[in-house]
Amino acid sequence: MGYVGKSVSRVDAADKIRGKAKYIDDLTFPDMLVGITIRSTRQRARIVDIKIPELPENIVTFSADEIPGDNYVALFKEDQPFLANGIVQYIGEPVLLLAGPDKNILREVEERIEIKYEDIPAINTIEEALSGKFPPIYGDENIYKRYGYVKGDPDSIFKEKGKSKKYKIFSGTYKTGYQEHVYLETQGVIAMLYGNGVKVLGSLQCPFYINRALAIGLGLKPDDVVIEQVCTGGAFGGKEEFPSLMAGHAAFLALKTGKPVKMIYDRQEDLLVTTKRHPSKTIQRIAFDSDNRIAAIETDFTLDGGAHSTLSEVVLARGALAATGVYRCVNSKLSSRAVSTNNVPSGAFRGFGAPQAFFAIEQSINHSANKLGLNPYNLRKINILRKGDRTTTGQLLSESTGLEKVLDAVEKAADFRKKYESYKNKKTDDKPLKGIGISSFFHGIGFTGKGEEIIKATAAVEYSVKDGAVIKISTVEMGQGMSTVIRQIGADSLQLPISEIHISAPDTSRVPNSGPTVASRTTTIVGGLVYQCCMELREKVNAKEFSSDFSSSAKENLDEEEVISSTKSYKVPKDVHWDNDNFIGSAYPAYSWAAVVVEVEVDPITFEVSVEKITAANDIGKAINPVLVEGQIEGGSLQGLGYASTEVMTITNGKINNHSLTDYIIPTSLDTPEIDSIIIEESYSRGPFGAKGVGEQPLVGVPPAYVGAVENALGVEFFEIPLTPEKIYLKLKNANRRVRREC
Amino acid sequence: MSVFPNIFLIFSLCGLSVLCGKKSEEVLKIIVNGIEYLPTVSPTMRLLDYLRKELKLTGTKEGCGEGECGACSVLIDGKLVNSCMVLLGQVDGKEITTIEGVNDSTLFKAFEETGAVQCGFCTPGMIMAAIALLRKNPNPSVYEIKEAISGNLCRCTGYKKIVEAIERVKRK
Amino acid sequence: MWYESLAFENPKTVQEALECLATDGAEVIAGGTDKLVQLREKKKSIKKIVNIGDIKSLKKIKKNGNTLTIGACITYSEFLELASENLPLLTDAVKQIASPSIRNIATFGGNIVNASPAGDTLPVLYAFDAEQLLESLHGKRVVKINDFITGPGETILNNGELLTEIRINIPSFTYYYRKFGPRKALALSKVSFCGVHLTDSDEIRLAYGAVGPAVIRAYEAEELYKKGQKDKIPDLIEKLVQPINDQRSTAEYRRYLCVEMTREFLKKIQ
Repeated sequence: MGYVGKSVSRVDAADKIRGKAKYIDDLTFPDMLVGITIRSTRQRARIVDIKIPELPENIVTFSADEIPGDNYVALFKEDQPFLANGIVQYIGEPVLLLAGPDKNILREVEERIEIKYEDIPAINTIEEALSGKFPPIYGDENIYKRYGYVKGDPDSIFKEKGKSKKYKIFSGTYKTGYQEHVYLETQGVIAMLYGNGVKVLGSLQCPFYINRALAIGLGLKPDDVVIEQVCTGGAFGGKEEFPSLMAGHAAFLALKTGKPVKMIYDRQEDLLVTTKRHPSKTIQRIAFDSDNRIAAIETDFTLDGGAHSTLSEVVLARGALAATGVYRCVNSKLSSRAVSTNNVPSGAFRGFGAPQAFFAIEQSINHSANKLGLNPYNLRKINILRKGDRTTTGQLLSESTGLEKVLDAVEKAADFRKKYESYKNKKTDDKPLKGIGISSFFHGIGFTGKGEEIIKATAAVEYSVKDGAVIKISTVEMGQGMSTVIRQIGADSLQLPISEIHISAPDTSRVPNSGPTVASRTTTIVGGLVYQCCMELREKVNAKEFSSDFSSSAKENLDEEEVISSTKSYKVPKDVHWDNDNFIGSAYPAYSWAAVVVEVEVDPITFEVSVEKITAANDIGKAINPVLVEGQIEGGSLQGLGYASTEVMTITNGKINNHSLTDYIIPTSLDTPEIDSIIIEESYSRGPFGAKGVGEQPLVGVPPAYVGAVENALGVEFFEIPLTPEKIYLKLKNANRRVRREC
Repeated sequence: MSVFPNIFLIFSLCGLSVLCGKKSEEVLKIIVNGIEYLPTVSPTMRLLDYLRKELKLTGTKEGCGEGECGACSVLIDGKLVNSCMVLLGQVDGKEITTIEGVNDSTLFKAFEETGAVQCGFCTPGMIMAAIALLRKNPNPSVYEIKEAISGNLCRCTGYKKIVEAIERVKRK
Repeated sequence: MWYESLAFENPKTVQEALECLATDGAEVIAGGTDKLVQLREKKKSIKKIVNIGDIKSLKKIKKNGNTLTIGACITYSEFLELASENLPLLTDAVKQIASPSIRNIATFGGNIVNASPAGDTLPVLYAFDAEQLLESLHGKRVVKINDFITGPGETILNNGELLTEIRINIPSFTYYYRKFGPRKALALSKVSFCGVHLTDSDEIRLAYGAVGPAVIRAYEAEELYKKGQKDKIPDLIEKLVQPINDQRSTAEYRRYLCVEMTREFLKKIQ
């Protein structure tokens, strides 16, 4: 075992550092045209007329009625058109496409295109969406998906309120805002004719999602639609489903013109029209018994899905499954829904519904601790899940449950209890005011519920003495380090030098479908399949045991150029069952566990918050590459901090107000606190070398820890993120409290 | 409208152009990574577009187009500048350094080994910012490093490992 | 970009520049950090771009007695290198502007002519009644900053006229400066405040950025101080500032900050 557990340098770093790595906008092809999208300026309207002026010969338009296949972007539902079909549902919805040799001229043409609309009353908010006062956007009820359950008997516990003193019951309404990914590289694709169909190159996470969507949209066989991912400048979920829409646009134009067509969004367009994290509203009640144990939790969880369904139903599921957090809770009730509004469609974003739900439950716990007169750490210690416990859905945690370890690790490293109590009891005129907050959370590894069973991920590994091993997967490198980590797994599985492990380009015509690059599933699920493939290769050369050397056995058993291969598809373990209608069973194959402590200083006059330190502990089974794991923790923590504090994105009548990097505020180097990452390794028997996932988790729990820290500093409760100085000011003013002295 | 006034206008414009410095048609000269170029494109083209489209130096990236992200950072006469915020005509006679003109193996190695690179899109700009800093201040403090890269957004790393990488190559 | 079709002039002297500006549709560019963002939106009236960034005489900075003269094309970095000791208040303000790469090209003249209510150097210039030297082919005039800027993005600069120099008379003073941005770099002000105490005459100057169509100089409050009624100042400031709700902050919080910063300043000069 030579590589696993070691911080091998990234295989892609050298080219990226030197500016040699080619991203989508760095590529050109002969005769290539530029494509642009003409978008709706109305929030909800019927298109009455489109007037296209006389155009120069070399400019081509493309409208909805020219779409060769079916006009919907295939994912779960069929409601999102490639181009608006008579009706627009949000500002920025694609209506028409243009292609030509010069973008400047296309923009001039755009100014001369007249689209006449007839407005329809638009749905702006979750409340309006559920009011029944507007014609629904989706279905009869304007709801993309609902999930709900009742476990045990929560009603009898909550009914006792007032009569008996057996239970203490606390409640709150929690809200989270939009979050924009701000991958540094904006969305981009190039489409061109290829074989009997098209090929699309792009900055993307899920080659086979696009393959399917385009086959349907173009009316082609899937084999005639080739998707290849090129070097991708960040994604965070933002390049999960959105590129299917954009790739469709470029492909339509390429088919019509016969030429390669490049589409690159500029930053403003990207901020205005691409998917965001779902805003949420959670109403939660929590009951504690006299031993401060959670007796019942009742949760009402709503996501704003925006104008089209995209991935809302699975985002909702992941959020719903986090409703009770990391706590033992036998009596629980959930109702949840993703609603339709005339806002830009919400979609996948690192954490995928979990950050919203964890904000609610962790703030419920923080607030409850305060009301129960307990330290938030102690209240968690009483209630957290441990090995041998069952989750709310009845899943037995039989192994790899490092929750208590991560919680203890951050408490100790940050000296949480002591600081919390001392800041809580401080004099009010200390300047600045210090505060500390904590949260504990999990992230389900792999798809929710039956997802992995449905997608049946497949990986293949080929080997020859001459060329070494070639790993074939559709999983992509988007900055997270996949191409290094998967090589490390391959190298140690075959006991080969890492230089002999190659990864095939993620091109749908060359690799099997190992599933999309999402859901913190790459290391565990795809890495697990690669490991299994390698084990089969070992058997093929009679080197099953690690005691026999693969390389020399291969030389003995194979001719120099003889290629052996192994293909493995994911099989659901026999003890894993999931009932999606009733939320019973194993929601995920495995869980990573985490706890985070955030320390802040709040200016008592201006309420500006300076974050001093984040301490994050993550149980991820095994860190295949510790430096890369730290990179995920540090980057995810900062992205979570932005979500909690500065990343305000508001929308007024469907128009996003923060549409530049001047006004959508992500942290700079100067805003970055000290980040202490602690890696805990509670081995997972079904993960390669014991590994679970880490990609999404570090972001998930930062918001409640941040808000908890501000609460600790100021002694008031907050229920909403992003928590800005403006909101702190308002809260203190409304509470008739000024912390500072009068001068 | 008669033709006459238009012609008159054109003449008068030409006359003035001669008076006022470099005209559009005059030859620009810029030095990029030590090579002298005489661009024939419009002097109102952004430097970023000239580097990427004309010289095919695609290591300089466009992240926002308005000076808010630093992905397009280059050096102009040794100073860190966002090349999306500069017109080609403004750098007439000046010396430009892009990532392709940098060969600092110590710095490169530090970025590689500390894990300062993830998606890589901000990386060339970060390297340029690091170089501008280290030339001026060979032994910067952590704060000075953070300050020097404060115009270069990174969404992947949380900056920590980038700061570590630059710290590692402090020139003593 | 659409403006690639525009003509470009690169004058080397003020005289050449003024000649370039004498025709219609000439758009001046110095550093370009504001101008190029604004130019993304097409403006049909613009015919050519005149770069004044290479005019050597506009890149001079000098101190004569108590007068600091800053050439219009001095960049923030150049100011920090050449003159940071001369006016520490201005140095404080300049250091908090945007980022190193922006400070390397953005100019003092640009910040003034751009006339953003949130312009970072402006509260300081207002506090000292900085004078602008304007030149045209017809002559020169000197205008105080408060008269020069008339609204958001609006100045009294005539067509064909160029801001060439900024003059600041520096008395003996102490100061309190705060910029409130949404983050610690690359930040546009939600509010900026500059309070100056002239130690010789025991007078004060109060200037507030990003809370009105232009920077607000609180003359009435300064008078109250002279009359020894400084207790009335915070209430007056509350009425005087005219902040708005926008994507960066709320009117109420901005007003609150103005009042509180004024209090902080008054406390400091007690």
